[in-house]
Amino acid sequence: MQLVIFNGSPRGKNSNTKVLLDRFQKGFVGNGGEVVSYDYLIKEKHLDEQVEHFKNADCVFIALPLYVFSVPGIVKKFIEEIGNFDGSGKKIMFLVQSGFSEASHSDNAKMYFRTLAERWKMEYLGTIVKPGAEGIRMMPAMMTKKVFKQMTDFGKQLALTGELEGPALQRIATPYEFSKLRILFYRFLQLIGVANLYWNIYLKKNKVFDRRFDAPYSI
Amino acid sequence: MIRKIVILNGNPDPDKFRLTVFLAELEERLVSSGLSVITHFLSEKKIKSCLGCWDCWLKTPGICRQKDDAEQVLKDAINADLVVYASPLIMGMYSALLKNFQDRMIPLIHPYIEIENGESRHRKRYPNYPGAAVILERNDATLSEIENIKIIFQKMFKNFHGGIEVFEFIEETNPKEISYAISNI
Repeated sequence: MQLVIFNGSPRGKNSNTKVLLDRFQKGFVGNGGEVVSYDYLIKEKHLDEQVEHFKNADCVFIALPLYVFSVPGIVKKFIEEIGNFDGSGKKIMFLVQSGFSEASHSDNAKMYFRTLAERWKMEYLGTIVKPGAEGIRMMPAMMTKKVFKQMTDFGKQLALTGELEGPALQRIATPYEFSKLRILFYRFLQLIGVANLYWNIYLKKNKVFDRRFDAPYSI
Repeated sequence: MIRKIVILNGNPDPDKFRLTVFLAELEERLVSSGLSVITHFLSEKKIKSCLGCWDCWLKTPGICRQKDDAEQVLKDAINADLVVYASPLIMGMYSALLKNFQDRMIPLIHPYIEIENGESRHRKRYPNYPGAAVILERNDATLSEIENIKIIFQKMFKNFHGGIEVFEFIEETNPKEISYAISNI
């Protein structure tokens, strides 16, 4: 099976999207799949070539971070450049990863992908939704082990069956929403002041912790 | 009450989409009813894509590392009472031009997360946020695409702490009606 990959992260090679794609490719190529091309959409001067790769593909994989509940601007530009296109007989799949803890925030990006597949008349294989993915490229191995295995398995599934497994897509997209217990737990973390630990580490490192609520454009 | 309005015109091609003509008439009507209006034609601005670096949250709180026209547009927008997000729908979604600017709006909010109605959202950076009016040119968008876009805007403004006051398609209304609706907010 041949696959054409597009990485839609503005962070390009330093993206969490790339880290997830790497694991996917490992499972895909390790089971006989072939990656025909891998484009970073951030390289906008190659847009014409990227569109050509899209139109010539048998199976397309577009992966991106969630930006304001939809795709990053560079990805929308790529989609506009492709335009309405008859991709009958071709397949498409997506990945959307986000920093939000709940998968529900990615619902509308996912819905958009479904409608796009319809526009392009391509067979929609599904969307891998991974919440809580900010910092995945820096997390210790024990924290990423599960998601890396899930991504490798998706690659394997695609290479061997040409599809993505429905239940596996559901499993990676968890939690979908916060449970009552989790909300209580979060309130407790807020109370003891560690809910925003991840951000505070950087704010302190950059010596701007005291200025974190600056509102520079206030008149 | 609405006094200051900023119109973000996300039309990439005024020859192709009639949205710009619609907005010009809307602006005229708003001004003649005594409101102050600033229109930003995003197609004429130099606004780079968000880099995803998060300097605006973690290094220079509230300020983007990229120095371009986005800064002035953001200043105008955060100090307005109402911001009009206007775009033709292209490939079932608002334009890359408008989306690109929305991505650059994150300096206006805070990285910290709070839980509101059981769902996480970003906290405020500013005490007050403008309301939103969404004016779209529907073109060939399907019903499911439209429904989806509406929810995206709702989620966005939950995080940008402003209510959606107007959500209209120019094919189904006219500048007079929208101007009237805005004057009565």
